[in-house]
Amino acid sequence: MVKMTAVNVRFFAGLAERAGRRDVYVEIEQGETGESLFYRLDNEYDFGVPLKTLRLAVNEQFVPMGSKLNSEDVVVFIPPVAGG
Amino acid sequence: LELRIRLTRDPIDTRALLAARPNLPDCGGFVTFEGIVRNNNHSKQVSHLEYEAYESLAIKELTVICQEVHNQFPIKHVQVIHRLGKLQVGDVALFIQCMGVHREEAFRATMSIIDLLKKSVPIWKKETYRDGHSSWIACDHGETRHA
Repeated sequence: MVKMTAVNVRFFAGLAERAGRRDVYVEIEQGETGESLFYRLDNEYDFGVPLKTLRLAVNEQFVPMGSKLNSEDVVVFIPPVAGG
Repeated sequence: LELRIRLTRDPIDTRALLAARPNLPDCGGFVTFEGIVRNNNHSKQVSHLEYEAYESLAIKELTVICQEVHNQFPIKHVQVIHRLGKLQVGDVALFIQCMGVHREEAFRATMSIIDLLKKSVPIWKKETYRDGHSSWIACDHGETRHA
């Protein structure tokens, strides 16, 4: 039996609005990275923002967009911030 | 370093916070900054705004920022409070207090914390204008401090 591997993607701000949801579980593919996952999600949700404007956080740590994802990771694409 | 960081949906009671100034007899510089919701941005009339955060990461990131700033400017006390949720014009969105032996480190630390917060802490702001339109605001997060 093949073990399912999924990550929990959480959406914030404009990305949550475009996705129409706050989070989703996504099965990841062999060698999935933040970048490849973003493009797959973008096909579905049409975020309307270029990848280069986003940062990637995995399990509450900022990591490079090309980082490999693992099962159960909590993945957040961080749009440009505007605190203060 | 005495460090207090908080995200809150409740109004920030600046008067109470000022009254609760820490008792640090060796410190002579006490700087307080309040970031207030303006009624305009880029010549648009703002009606209200809404802040949202990735709270756990925002707290972590703010903690790292305050530690870094402390390494640069040896302050003894820092407090950072950021409002979340819907805010009206005139509401306090951000409150920062820094206390140091001298004024210089207290002023510089306060400025640095604001600058770094605006660049990297995962907090987002949606402005709604008097004409009914709204938009998510993007600060310059070009120079990422990470990755």
